[in-house]
Amino acid sequence: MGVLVNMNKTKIDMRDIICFEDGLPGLWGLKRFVIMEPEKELPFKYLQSVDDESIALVVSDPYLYMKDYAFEVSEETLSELGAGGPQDIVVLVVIVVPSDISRMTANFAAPILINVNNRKAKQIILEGSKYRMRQPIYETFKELVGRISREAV
Amino acid sequence: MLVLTRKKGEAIFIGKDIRITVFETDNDKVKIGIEAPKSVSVLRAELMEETISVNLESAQRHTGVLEKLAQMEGGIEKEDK
Repeated sequence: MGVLVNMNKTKIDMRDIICFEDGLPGLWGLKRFVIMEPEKELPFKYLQSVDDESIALVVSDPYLYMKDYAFEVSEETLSELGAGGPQDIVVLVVIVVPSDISRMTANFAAPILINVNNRKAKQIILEGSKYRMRQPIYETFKELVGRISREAV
Repeated sequence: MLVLTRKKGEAIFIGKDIRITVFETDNDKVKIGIEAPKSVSVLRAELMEETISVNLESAQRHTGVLEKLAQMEGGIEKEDK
């Protein structure tokens, strides 16, 4: 039995180091990251490697793009993260911004889970889910940026 | 790489607690059963490979993201007018 994760109920503190004990797929050797905000207010963040400063993934809160995003997390994963339940977890998705930004995508099939209490993190791959590894998000992104710039005025 | 030939119904062990059984074969398809401890993640290889590709692309292409977005915001202003 797993636990349904369907909201980011907690906020994450930006200053602390996040630890991926197993590493991130493709970047296995890199285990320590921090979350950084871009200079401008934009609907994404950077997951910046502490060990290799040239490596930063673009990530975002998935619920900005997909309000009903939900998936099950196994008890094994929760205990690996030392999490008591979904209330301890913040979810991020990895975003790819290609040179043609209208083709930007988010990976909803492999969310990153972070336990906000102890900073342990893991990227899990959802086997057999309806979500896509490359879900186009440009239209929503454009709306979000528009909303942010209107609020700033 | 170790390559083994197995018949339908036969199995192999990996270590002491992972057992892989061949259930069915049909031309180019093989149905396999996997018994493993819950702590062992079992994934179709293409899912892991695609996750790796997406992570690497996300990490490599962020340089210039802000410049690209600056262009985009110009585009939005034009649309508003």
